[in-house]
Amino acid sequence: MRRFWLALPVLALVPALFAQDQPKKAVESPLKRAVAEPASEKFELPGNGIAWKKGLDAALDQGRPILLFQLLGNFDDVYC
Amino acid sequence: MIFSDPDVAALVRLSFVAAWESVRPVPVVEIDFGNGAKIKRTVNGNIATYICAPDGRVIDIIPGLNDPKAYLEALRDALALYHASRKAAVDTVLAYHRANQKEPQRYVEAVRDKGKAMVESKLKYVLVPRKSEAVAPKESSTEAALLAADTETNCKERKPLIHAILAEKAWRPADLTKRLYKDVLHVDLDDPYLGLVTTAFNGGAYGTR
Repeated sequence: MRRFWLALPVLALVPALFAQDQPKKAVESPLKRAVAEPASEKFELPGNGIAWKKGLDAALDQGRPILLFQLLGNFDDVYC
Repeated sequence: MIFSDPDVAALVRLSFVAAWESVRPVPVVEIDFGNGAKIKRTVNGNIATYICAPDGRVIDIIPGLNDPKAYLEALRDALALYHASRKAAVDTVLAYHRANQKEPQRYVEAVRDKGKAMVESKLKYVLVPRKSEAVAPKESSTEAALLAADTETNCKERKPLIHAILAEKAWRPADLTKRLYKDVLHVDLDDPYLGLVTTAFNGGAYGTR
């Protein structure tokens, strides 16, 4: 029991340490993902469930109208 | 981001095949404060949403940045036009755009002073730090005001121009993109400076360097 009380201040610091690392994590994790996974022709924006295809040709002739979002830059760079 | 809106996301997910394409690399604005501090942001407001039939014919175009409500309404209108046009595709689409043609309302900002307005408003827009949704789900009043202004310009100036273009004939996105960006969104994709150097800075002592 005494050990627990001694460890308490250290345990209290753990969330703060994680919080400090959030910006670092935010930068590093997409980079790690990009390096670890080959570029995909299809990807999902987090949370909204839309499956995006790259380019009009990949979306043709699938029985539904196409929403083609045109932008300057890369969609995954800018919006993900 | 417009596709984070749950209603927009649901409609896109259920009713469309979603695709994206880049028309050119994104411009990057960097401000050097001279003391080693720099701010770097991308200028990504020049966007267009094409609604196409499954064979790639353009049904309608939603220009620029819009608030979720206006975007959703435009998507629903385009979807209704698509369904209405399934039997007589080209004729229905052309008739719709011809019927909706009207004189565009010209905005002082967008036309007479577009370079300055484009540089300043987009700069203001991109320099306002984006807050993640988890931290702050609501946009700041500056962002909301800029988005509302963009939405109004899109509706009253750009949309009539789009109706006029789409009333001409059946288009494919690839045949239309440069014209759309130049004539409607005021971004010349053939100009490496996107038309900003001569209009915003007017050459001046530095020419076009």
